[in-house]
Amino acid sequence: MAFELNLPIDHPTLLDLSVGTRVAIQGTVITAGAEVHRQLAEGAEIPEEVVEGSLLFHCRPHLVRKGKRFHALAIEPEVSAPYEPQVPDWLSGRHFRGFLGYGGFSDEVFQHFRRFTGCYLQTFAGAGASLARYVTGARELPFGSGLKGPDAMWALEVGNLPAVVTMDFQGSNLLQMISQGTARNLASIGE
Amino acid sequence: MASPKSAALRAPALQATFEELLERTSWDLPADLDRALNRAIEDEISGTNGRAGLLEVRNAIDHARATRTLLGTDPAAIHFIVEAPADVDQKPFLEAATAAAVNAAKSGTIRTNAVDLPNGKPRRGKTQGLAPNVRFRTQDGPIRLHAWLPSASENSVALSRTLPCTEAPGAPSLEGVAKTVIHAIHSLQGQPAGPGIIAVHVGGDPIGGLDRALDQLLRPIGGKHPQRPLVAIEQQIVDGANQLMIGAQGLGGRSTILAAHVGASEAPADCWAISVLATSTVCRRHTVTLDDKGGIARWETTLAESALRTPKEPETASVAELEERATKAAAAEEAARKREAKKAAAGKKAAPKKAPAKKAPPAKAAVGTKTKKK
Repeated sequence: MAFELNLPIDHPTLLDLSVGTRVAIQGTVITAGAEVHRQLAEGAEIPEEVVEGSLLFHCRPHLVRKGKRFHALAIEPEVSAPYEPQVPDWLSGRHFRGFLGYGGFSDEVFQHFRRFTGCYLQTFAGAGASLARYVTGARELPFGSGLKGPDAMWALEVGNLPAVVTMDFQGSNLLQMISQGTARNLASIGE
Repeated sequence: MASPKSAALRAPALQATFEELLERTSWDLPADLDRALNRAIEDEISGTNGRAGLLEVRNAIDHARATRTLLGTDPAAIHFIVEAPADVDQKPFLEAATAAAVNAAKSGTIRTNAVDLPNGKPRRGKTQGLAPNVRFRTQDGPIRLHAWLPSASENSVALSRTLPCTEAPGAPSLEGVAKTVIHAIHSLQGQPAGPGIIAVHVGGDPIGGLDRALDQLLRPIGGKHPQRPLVAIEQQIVDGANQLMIGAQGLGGRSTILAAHVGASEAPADCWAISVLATSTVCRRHTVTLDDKGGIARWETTLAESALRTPKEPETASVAELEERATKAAAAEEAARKREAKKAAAGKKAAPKKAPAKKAPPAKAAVGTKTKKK
């Protein structure tokens, strides 16, 4: 049974999130691809709509307009490692308490999760068309300049978006734990 | 002078073939991967994050089929591989491939954010979208056409190794190949969004080897291996990789890879290049055989039409519901298998003595030899 994770993430909820927990995300996630990150690094301001404790989703969502509403076609997580440089600032600034993507962060960045209490969630790559079903609404946020379509910053309303906690604020890293286990298995195959 | 085979080809038929192949490849997972994924779901430990990942990908595949929309992420390249006799003119294929790629971008079949490098300007007009890579393989017999749509990052990864190496010191051997490939799979830790196909070429040089590993990628899972001595090595790699318990998407579990395909060519006796292509579960590839005019005589890699579900609206279900459905479907399949086995056993008992052999009736057309699909 998945843990219902309501956004924005408050501190008590963060304490409940431990690695390996499967979550069903409810609320508003904020998307940011490469162009958003580039403009953020250049000093673009985070919109006021992004409240404290938000979840930043490494994703360039593919949406289509139907009348006044946007309908999601594919929500595919991006590999998070390229976006590491800004993570410490965002955690310390409190806008984002969690990150959603694929592949996790390095140890160097991960240590900030303990200091500033944050978490990393991994959702399922290759399942973009399926993940789109969990998006119930979308609106483009006023951010930066010249960003269009998937490259813009979006607020996606989601219900039951599935993810797994792979890094928690206590310093546990699921991907590292699995890696250590697989290293032991590799050694035993060689025997 | 054009060969008879070239002379028979018709540009409109050829272009329609490339367009149809490209379009179908974008949304329809090939049947062999579909079956392998279902087996992986059945074998995976219930309730685990790895199984949840497999089920969600299963859902995405079904959704893409139902809505005929792009499966997975935006493609980074369009690959066509043409297998044809040496005297077939390549120009019509190049023209048809280019036109198909441009039309796919215009129609939105291939969703792409392609820009020209190094200037970074969006590609427009006659060069809109992705320019296709077209490779030719000389082969006698009917003309076959393959398409493959990898994406930039999480869909495919290429690695090179050389024997001897730390993991397999001493004289190069097939055993060493298997060991090295398992180590390479371990280094990936579930990338790129596995489980997928590990395609390996042994021999030659690293660059040529990766090109030839592509031929291994295109082989259907479970199909006949053209180099029988390598079958055991393939199984060794699959068993070893899945014993690692990296699992789907690196989240732990039994399904680290779906299949390993290994091909080999000549190599210096003391130095074997090993070229590895690793793909995600969503490996968008298809193969067709052409007729004399260049139209599609047969799809080699698609599900039977009856297996394509087309619900009006894609279903929405939680992972728990998907798990329950997968378990029920597996139980129903097992019950059907037992019923069939019982029937067959009962039929054997009641069978009368064999009558003398009669002359066989004329052969019917083989399944799948329909011309162009709608």
